[in-house]
Amino acid sequence: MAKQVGFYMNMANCYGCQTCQVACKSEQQTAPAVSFRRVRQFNNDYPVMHATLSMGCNHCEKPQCLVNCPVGAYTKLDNGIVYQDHSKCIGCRMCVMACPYGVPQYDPEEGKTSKCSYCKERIDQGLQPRCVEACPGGNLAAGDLEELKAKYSGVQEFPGMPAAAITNPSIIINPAKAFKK
Amino acid sequence: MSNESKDLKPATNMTRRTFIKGTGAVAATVALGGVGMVASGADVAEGAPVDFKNAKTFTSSCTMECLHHNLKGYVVDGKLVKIEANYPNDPTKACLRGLSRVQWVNHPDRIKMPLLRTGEKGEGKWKEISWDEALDLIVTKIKETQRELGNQGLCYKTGSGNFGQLVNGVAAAFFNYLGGCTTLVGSLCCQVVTTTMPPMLGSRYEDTRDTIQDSKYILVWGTNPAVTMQSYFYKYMDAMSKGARMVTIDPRFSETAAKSDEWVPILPGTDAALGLGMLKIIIEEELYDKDFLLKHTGVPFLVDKATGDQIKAEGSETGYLVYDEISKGIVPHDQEGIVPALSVAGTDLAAKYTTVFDLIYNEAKKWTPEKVQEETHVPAETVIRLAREYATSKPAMIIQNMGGFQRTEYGSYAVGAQFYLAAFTGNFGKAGGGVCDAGGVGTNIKVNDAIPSPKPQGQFGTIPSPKFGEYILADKPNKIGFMWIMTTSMMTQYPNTNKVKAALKKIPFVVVVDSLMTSTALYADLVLPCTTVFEYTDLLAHNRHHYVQLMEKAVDPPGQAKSDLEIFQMLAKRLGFGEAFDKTPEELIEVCLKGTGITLEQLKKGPVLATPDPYIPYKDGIFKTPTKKAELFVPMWKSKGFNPVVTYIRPNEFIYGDRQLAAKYPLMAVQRKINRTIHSTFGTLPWICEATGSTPHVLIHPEDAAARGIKDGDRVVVYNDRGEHRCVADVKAHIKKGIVALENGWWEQQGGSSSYVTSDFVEPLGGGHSCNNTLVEIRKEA
Ligand code: SF4
Ligand code: SF4
Ligand code: SF4
Repeated sequence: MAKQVGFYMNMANCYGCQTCQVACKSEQQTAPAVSFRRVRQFNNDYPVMHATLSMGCNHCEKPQCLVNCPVGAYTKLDNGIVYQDHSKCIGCRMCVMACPYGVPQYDPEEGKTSKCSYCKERIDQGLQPRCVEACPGGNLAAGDLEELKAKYSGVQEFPGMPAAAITNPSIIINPAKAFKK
Repeated sequence: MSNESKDLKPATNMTRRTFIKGTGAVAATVALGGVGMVASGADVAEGAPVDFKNAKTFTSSCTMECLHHNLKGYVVDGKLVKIEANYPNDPTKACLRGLSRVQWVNHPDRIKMPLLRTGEKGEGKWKEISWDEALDLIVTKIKETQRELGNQGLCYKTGSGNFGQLVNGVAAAFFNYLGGCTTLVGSLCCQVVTTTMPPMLGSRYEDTRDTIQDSKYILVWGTNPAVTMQSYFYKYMDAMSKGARMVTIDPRFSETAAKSDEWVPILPGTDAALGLGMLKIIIEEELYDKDFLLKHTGVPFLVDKATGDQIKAEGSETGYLVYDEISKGIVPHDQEGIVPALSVAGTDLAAKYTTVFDLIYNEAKKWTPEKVQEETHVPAETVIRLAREYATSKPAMIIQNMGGFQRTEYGSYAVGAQFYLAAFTGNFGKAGGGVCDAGGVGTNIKVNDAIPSPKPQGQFGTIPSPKFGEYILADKPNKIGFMWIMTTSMMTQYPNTNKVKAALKKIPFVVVVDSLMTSTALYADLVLPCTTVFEYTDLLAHNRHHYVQLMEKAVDPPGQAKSDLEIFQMLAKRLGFGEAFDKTPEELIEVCLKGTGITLEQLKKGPVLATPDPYIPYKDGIFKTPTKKAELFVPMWKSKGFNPVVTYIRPNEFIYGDRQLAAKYPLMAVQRKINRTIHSTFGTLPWICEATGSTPHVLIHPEDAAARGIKDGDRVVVYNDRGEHRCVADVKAHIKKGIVALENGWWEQQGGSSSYVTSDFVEPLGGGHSCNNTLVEIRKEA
């Protein structure tokens, strides 16, 4: 089986501090309109519920960004990272529309799209993705997807999330209480 | 890795950044990267990606009133380019704010020269002057004030914006050397913990963070650790995963409530009533730990009914007397072989004496579950269940963390009620038990003042902090001619902010020392530019973290910004007492560390743990009071004319308090802390604004919103007789109906602080701040 990196996200324990999001901005020096990792909120009134989900790129097995990019800016690397060659991007936003998770981010100032690279440069140096390293709660993990699956239990989708069948995202989520079956 | 991936150099990123730099519209964007944005000597090639790998690293600390995380700064060509948590040297990790400090250091709007006001105060019109001119002017103004008004005409305020050893303490030394001045007293955040905890337990800043994960029952009471104690919130989750039950008492469905097993909404300011109601059940159902009470608390101490004071053996400060059930006599509490009586009710002694236990029970017994429900809106059956759960699930921990519950009109009693519960159930001194205060190194080591200074001769009067505006406007207790403000932003934190604004306008000469044009600096006559973290050397050894840390200077400050220490050194020299201040930061740090067992050399290698691990406050029930027991009767309260044991006094600015006021302003406003700021610090940094938004919100219940025609996202005005706060409605059932939550910390430039409407009532027992007893009304913005 091809190697595949992935993320584990412990939504049940995530408290939405957004440190992962800002650590990513700092590492990747993204423009104001662009956050490769974002913390989404889920709220409900009756009964009251508040939960947060942190998500970067899911480096999917069947990446729709890659499939739909007309200029071939995306590559699936040997380790499973879905990598964008930013110099090829023409800013057509096909990937933005194609990704069910809203991962690729279009920067109107630049007129181009970019996305989470799984901190490829850091991985090459033997470091962890910056977001994972930064989470004060220890609620993110990175590594070989099979190993992550062996270590953590979780799901690829919960009610409200896109169907995992579309892309087979390399992510394991331990959902917040309200999303547990 | 394939060849292809190796070939993918970050050159692609460079394209993105080069483009950003080429765009005029994104001047602020340039700051985001923290790269080459400082105008002077930008050696980092335009647009080149920062190579963090070859950066030089330095460590410093996040110094404001928070968790004091150790930070690692990356420097390339003299520029700070990234900040990370210095993990695992500090086992807890910095948050988004700590990481965003790189944008503070590199902020394009940093103040670089002293600024002298040219327009009206608040107008924001300035001219740059030299340091020499600025210092001469300050010296002239100080002398003028001393001549015309005496030293009482001088005033200064330092705050929680920086807990470094070489900052606020140096200011205190400076004003002592000047001969003293009028001072502000009472912290806005936790004054009533400071006045309640030491008399009862013998110390402050005793935190139980090390054993949260060992708890079986966590009662988070009027505080929100998921946001305010974020870096060790995982310990709460650990406890829960091991089966602990977590209950959060809060008017708002907070981030912590969302993670809890149960959310118990409560009316602000009524926590003492709930505490007493729980205590009644614990006493009547005999769920209390009698052994602990007799051995480790002062509840058996006898109280003279005639005087209302605890009685002591002749000539003994700690010789409180008890009734011994064995000898049937009155004996000192610490006599060997006795069995003190908890109560003397029904005995012959009762004519003359009572016990602290009886006094406490008399207060508790009034609070039937039904009465608690009426006053607090916590359902009677919940009160009973909470009491039973808390008393029987051991160890049980109460999370106090200087939370919002104590910033209420009689907050001292609310704080005391929580200590009573922990004492009665014998939870103090045990792993997983106790009451969690914010805490740090001060419990274990004593760090010295950097600059010892003479105690001023004479008294110059004090101003209770919440009343700053009112006192200044009334020249109470003194007319103030010169005011020095540093490490605080009064215009975003001080209640009744319109009065604060008027006060700052009234004082003839206000100096504000800061690094950015804060809400308060706007109202200065002279703004002095100071350094920020990573631009100066300091020592952080305070009561927010268990580690002592050296703060290294990594980069030069922009323009002519100077450290607070340097500013005072220059002034002291001009005023003739320069010698006392004339030491290098390292020399001063050594003074601070003397006798602590920690050395500068050690700190150069990394942060040093200064508390035992795990730290268990009041271990084995040994308290730090003179009797080594929890002294639950507070003589100081009695001397102020209040009940010396915890009672409940209904707040005035409350729906059941001043009915006329409540008819006009029927909504109760509480202040919440959000992840974007610490007080007001960080509030304008671009990453913070981008990640968390840049407009203040008010959380309002859907029914309260509907009654006012307010929809989610509407711009609204929150108002009362004190002022107005403009914000956006966040309509959710995440708050108890009838209560609204305002966000603390917004700058004038962002629409202003919620403190414009907050109560400036001074908590009478301890001198605290009661912003969470504030009544308001809300209307849609026209
Ligand atoms: S840093 Fe961790 S706890 Fe904070 S939002 Fe991200 S995943 Fe959640
Ligand atoms: S892996 Fe790197 S690029 Fe992707 S979200 Fe995390 S920090 Fe950002
Ligand atoms: S703001 Fe507080 S939690 Fe965040 S890094 Fe600073 S000290 Fe730590």
